[in-house]
Amino acid sequence: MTLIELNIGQRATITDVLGTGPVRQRLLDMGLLPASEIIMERIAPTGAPVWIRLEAMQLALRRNEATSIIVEPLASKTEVQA
Amino acid sequence: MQEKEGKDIDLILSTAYFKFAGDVLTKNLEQKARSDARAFSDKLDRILVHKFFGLPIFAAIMYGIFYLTFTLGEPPMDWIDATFSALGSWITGLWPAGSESALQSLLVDGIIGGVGGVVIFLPNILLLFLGLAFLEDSGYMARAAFLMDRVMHRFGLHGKSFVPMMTGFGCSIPGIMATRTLENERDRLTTMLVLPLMSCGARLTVWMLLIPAFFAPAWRAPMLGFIYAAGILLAMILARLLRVSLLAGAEAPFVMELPPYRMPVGKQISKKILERAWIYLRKAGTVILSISILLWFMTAYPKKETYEVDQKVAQGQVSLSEEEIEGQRAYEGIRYSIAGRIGQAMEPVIKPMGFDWKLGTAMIGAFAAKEVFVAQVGIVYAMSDVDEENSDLRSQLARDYSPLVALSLMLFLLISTPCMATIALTARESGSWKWAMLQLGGLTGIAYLISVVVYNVGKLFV
Amino acid sequence: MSSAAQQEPAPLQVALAGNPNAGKTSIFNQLTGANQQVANYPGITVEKRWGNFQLGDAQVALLDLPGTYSLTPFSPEERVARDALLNDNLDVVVVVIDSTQLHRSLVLLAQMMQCGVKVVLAMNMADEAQKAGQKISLQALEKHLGCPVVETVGSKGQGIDNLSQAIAKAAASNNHPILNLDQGLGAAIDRIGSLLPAEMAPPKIGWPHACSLVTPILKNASKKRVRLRSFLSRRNKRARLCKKKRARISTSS
Repeated sequence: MTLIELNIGQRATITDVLGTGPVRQRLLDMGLLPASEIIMERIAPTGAPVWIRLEAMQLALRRNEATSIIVEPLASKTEVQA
Repeated sequence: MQEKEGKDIDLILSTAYFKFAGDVLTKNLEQKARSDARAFSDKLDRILVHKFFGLPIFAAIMYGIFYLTFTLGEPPMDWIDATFSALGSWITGLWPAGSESALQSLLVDGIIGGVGGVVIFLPNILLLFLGLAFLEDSGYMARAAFLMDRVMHRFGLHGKSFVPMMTGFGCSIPGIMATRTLENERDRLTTMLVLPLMSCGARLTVWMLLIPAFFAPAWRAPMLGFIYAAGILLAMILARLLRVSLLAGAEAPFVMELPPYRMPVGKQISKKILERAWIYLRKAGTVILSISILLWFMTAYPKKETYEVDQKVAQGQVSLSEEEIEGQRAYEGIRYSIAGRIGQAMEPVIKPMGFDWKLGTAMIGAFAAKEVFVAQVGIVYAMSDVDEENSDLRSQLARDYSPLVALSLMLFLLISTPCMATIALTARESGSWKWAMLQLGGLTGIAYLISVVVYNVGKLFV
Repeated sequence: MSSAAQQEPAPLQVALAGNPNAGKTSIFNQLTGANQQVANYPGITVEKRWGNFQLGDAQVALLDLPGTYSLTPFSPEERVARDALLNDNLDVVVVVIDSTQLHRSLVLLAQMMQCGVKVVLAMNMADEAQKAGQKISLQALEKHLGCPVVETVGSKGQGIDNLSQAIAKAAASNNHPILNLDQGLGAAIDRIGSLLPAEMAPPKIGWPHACSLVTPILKNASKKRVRLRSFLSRRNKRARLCKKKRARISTSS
């Protein structure tokens, strides 16, 4: 699934970062790499961008960027089956 | 996953760099930062970017900054006004009463009047810059971009366009310079081209003159809000149009860091404000001073030798008081001057907007820089009306024009090109005069259209 | 006796680099005070900020590079920073990092180290990191990275004297920092380095510089393999031409 599908408060591990060129490079530069663990913290009142946490860093991503990040949710209270 | 056989060198390199950084940390970090290090910042964010309250809070913060700009700015403005008036009368006193001197006129009407009209708004400018610097340095600006991105994006802009646009409220010059934070050329160009529609500090001087002159106290704040909102709305529409026409194409990545809230440091804020205020004052000291002198010359020369009013009085056609005769003479004088002639020549063109040659004359200055409009109106009136004792500029304006003309005038000054410096900067920052000329021609054309429509439709109702 | 022989030495060329939001500008202000100027890089939209300060007997020309997250040349800011690092003959580069964001910030440091410049690491916002309970041994870090490391708080002017001393120390030393990238990648870079013309090859200009030349080639290679060969042959040709020219100059003089 992609990052945009995560619920608020859900943790996940990045498995792949799709795309090419500057957009992908920027994601990689920020440390959004396979095996990195992220938390979905909030979504803007207007529905986008999303606000995630990666280690000590908080980042805002647009829908477009968020859908290019493939994640594997970590088992939590909200979603046990994944 | 790791065996991509060099297919994905970007990922391999980034992974290698992060692995290096991770190794450095595991080997040297004696104690990790607590996971709740950002607890305070997170708590604040729970309120400030709240699902429902985030946007209203943002609107309230913006309103608060504008409100403080005007109320706290009032007393120091009075002091500056008093200082310049005293200086003016001191210089006038150096010449014997009743004598006419070109130098005295240049000093008092041209220089002190012109520069004073700009310096008086320094308190407003400083307060607005203070508010913006506080938002920037506290980290709230990034939250504002987060809150606003969807909306900005819908109009073809970027969340990061928001900061330059906000800076544009202070002055278009630093605003255009701030578009550098935008990585994509098209995002940057779009922002740069529509940014002058953000009502800048220089235009604030015009609003501060016109709004109290034409509108009742209860209507002043809403009117000011309307002007700002009109600029924002038009910027959005134009940005959207640009993004589907001249500037269609791929977008820059939106990956924005949200730094934790920090207490702004007084020294840094004051440095930032002083730097910007200095740019403003330097503009007043150089560009505006020379334009003031040029415009003074254009309004004072050529001198008329005989006045119609004198002949009429001599022939006994009219009987007027000495003061009224003086006023008529000055009026005829300015009509006869270079600026008056240009203003009259322009009249057929600007008449559909409800403007007369006086406003046209003042707008000649406004083309060079918006704040010159105030100085110019001041000169036009100081010289065409000797009755300066108890009626200030505002009541004179209110006497000569209807509020509808004022609205049309404000819209024209809002939308048409801000100042020469902005055009020059756009040319430099966009890398071509083509964009600057498009900005100049496009905005002035749109301004003309809108003012004509507003004035003529408005006339049907008033 | 000394005044006659007095000769103004060339100022030290020092640049500040770092992520956006790392507090680079406050460090710059602390170091230069009022001696600073702002202008644009010609033809592009990036701001150039530079200034001077006195460091013991030496004069330092300080350049504030635009804030970047990496040196991959996608944005004009990144291109400016990269070009300055590779071409400006900088004596020292101060990498200003946010101490509360060490992982990401050290990535930029690694890229700087690849450029073959002497590096000083300024761990800015050290007060915030300490408040959060973070502890790091500066001595161990210096040893690991091979460059001076200082803690600073730009907003309060703390650690600025230490930073100045570190700049002087780095400028006086001959050591380039050590960068141990992932083994496999290091080997790949070495292999490409061996294809470079002899003058550019590691022994002459130092391994890190070669690496910085090679990295963009690797990046290009991922897009078009063919380009790599033509790139190298063009470089070889250019290098041969340079050699010829130089030979001609030396014989004529």
